[in-house]
Amino acid sequence: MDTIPVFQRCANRLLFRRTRRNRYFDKLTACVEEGVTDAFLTILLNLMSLALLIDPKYRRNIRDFEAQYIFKDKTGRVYVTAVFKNNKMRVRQKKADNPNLTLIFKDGASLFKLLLSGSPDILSALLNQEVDFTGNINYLNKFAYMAMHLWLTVTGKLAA
Amino acid sequence: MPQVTLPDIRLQEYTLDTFPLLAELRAGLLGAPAVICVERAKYITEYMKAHPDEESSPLLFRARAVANYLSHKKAVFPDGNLLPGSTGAGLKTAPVYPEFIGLTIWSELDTVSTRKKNPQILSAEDAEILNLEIYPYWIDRDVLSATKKEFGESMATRLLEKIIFYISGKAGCISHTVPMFGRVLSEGVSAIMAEAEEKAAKGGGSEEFYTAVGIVLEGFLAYAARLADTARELASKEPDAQRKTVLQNMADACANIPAKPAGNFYEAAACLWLCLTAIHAESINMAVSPGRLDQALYPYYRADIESGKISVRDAMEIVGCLWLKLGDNINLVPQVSEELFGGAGTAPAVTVGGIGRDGEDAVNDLTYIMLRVTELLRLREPNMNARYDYEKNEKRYRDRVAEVIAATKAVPAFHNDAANIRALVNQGVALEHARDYSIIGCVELAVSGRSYDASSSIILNLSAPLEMALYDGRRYTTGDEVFGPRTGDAARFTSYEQFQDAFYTQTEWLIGQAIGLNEQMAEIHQRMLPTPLLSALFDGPMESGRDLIFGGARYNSSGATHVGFADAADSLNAVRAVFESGRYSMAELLDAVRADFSGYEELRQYLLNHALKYGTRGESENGAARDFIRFLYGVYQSHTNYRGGKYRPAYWSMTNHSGQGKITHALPNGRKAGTPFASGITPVSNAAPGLTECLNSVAALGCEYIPGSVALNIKFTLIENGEDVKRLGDFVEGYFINGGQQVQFNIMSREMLTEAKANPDQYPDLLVRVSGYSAYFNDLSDSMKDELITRTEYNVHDGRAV
Repeated sequence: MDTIPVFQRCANRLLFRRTRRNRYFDKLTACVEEGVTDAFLTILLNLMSLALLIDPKYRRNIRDFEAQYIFKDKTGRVYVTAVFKNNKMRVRQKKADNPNLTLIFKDGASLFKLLLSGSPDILSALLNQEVDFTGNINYLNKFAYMAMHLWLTVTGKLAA
Repeated sequence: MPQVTLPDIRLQEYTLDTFPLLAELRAGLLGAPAVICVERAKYITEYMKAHPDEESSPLLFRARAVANYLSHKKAVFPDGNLLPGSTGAGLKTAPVYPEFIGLTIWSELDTVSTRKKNPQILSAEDAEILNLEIYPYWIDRDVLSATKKEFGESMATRLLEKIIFYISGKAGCISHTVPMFGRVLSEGVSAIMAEAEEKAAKGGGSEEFYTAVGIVLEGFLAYAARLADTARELASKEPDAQRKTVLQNMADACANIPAKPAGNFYEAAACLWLCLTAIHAESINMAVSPGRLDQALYPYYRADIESGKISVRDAMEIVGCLWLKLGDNINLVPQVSEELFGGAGTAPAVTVGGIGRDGEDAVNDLTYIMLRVTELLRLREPNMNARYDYEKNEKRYRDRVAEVIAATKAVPAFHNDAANIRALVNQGVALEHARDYSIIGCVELAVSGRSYDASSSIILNLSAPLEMALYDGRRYTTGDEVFGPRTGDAARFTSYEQFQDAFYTQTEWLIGQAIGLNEQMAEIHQRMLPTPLLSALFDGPMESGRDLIFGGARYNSSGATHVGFADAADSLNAVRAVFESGRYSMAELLDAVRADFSGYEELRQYLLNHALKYGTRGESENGAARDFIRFLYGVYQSHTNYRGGKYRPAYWSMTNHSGQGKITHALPNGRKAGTPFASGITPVSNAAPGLTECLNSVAALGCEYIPGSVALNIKFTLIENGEDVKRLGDFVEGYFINGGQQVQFNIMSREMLTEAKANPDQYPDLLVRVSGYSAYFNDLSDSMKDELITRTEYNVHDGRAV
């Protein structure tokens, strides 16, 4: 059964997680509508992190999933890690050792195109030198699915 | 009794109207959406998850996992086809192979059904099964991940993952082979199982292999039994008398085959198809090719015709049903594959004609029946190939093949027996076996059921080493990152030979990387993906007690094909022209290439008009192409693969020449950035104004140096009548006498293709040859369509470019 434990429900309320999720969604929508910037990644990761806490169905994506991701741009200005452990996701700005995947993207627009453009084609992005990576590409495939699925869910575009 | 007894080899009395069933099935198949089928992945993964303790015995583990799928595989009868069995659980399915590239659509699970180009339908329920149950198990276990885990990140994997250097076939498959169906047809699977049981009991070190063969074939028989039961049950409930008989026939057939010998032509065709469905339970559906069907099925056809059990019409209907079944599956592909491999089917190659093992004419009635069915159905599958021996086969056969090409505008491809047999004998194949060759997938040569060729092991992009020679180890699109050896600043080269050395150094280095990675992946295949079922359908493994993946076949090799051959050869010629003329410097040429010739149009025109061009007599006599072919042959043949076979170069490019060209910068031959490369072994578009010269140039490369064969694309604007058909045949014959190996045609003009691109609805099933396989024009990417549109067009009357 995909239910939210009582303590989780309490924490969600106490920490205004739904409200925060909605704000991040609004920010992400604005970001997409007004032009993608480097802030896009942080907003997406925070939205994802909250959605995983709030939505038990979505949380099934990280059941028993342990992985570390590094996202950075080519200039080095953006550097974010996402850690999946104990059925939770944590977003940090500090360095991670032995990531399963390091994704290097040209700019926010490239990352958006890769993750949320509606045709999340990783190999195409690689082919066009818009992103580069080290590690296991399957982790990128999984992350891209989670991002796209979240975006389609919150925008109400997910096919029934 | 003569083998050709048909009063009319063209079989003109039979049209598609004569076969309402085939017409209906054809319309149904072409109109059906491709559905992603998770059944196989589910049963294989479930078994592996539940039995982690078995990992230490890869052969048995694999055999049990595949048998688990086969013994649970649904028996479906999705349309009125006369033959039982299907690749997936539907009419047209894309099975998921998570061991290989099945995870590449993970990111597309929510969008693959609605993507613009070639959508593949995936239900929400199946997407969830893939996302939550199947993919998490394989995330660190598919071939590429397992290779990186075992051998670490390396330059070789980095080059693969950049996609623009080479593609390692083993990440996605081995498949690409022609099994031997003769024994299953004549003795049945039970005979192979009895042999395996006996040999397993004897011991001797190969018990595990023989036990694995027994397990997996047991699964195969369970599938056949389920088909028989289901067909019988459906027949009992079927109100339509005709359909009831069809279902009963299928039930009766599956009660007999594949366990026991095929009793007639229908059972032989059904058995062969069932074997292919079983092979696809184990090996991915990429170019597993039926081979010489006019030879394998002929004894059954002849016996049934002679005894009056079937008519020619009956045989044609059965062949048509088999052709349609061969198209019941497609590859699961991520979006980018539409650029690189766009519109590809699964390329099951059927080969007809040519000579037999005795060296004599092997064309028979069934050859002509298969040609006529191909002409009537005009399908992408099977990929049809006609062998032609200009000394032994009759001219009327040659001209009939040419006539079918004219009618379908694209198929079959012509293959030269003399050259291909010579190429295989040169590789150590016994003459009688070489005479029995057949085509794998696109154009590659197999010694039917005796050779395991892994013919798609490497797809090497020749523009990569060319650019690395120009930019001192770098590629233009990847900026400052150095990949290859530092061969020096090309602007300071003082001779053509210096540039050629740099290019050859980069090429040899890149080939070394690709081969090194292929060998690493092969180790992973050996640990994870033995093929006991496929091995049981081969000459060699049952005798030696070794799986194919461990070198059990009689002959072994690994194939490497190339993208951008003509552009690379012409670029070498262009560099030589610069040095020899003294009119421009190498530094100027480099600047021009970097600038995509912007501001250097005069230099570009000089290169286009004065440098030698592959495809012309001058180039053939003094140019770079022939030396380059020999160089590549030498490099590959110096490597021995993990099964003890040699690496074999080939030149076919599917649609990679278009996809890779689109993302490659300008080259010294005057080619501008982002434009397609020439396909396969074909000269650059509009570089070869005369067809005879063009064909002679290709033939002069030397078949001995191209053991993997070639794809040569020739476009004729129009074939109007019988005389034109003969002219086409004459061009082929002349080319073959000079040693050419293969040629394929598109009979269509620039105007027609331009119109087809603009009005796709008016050309729903337009069949074209890309570089190797056939495709439906509408399935291709825009850049591939443009490449087809701009190919050199020849007039069949005088052989001049128009």
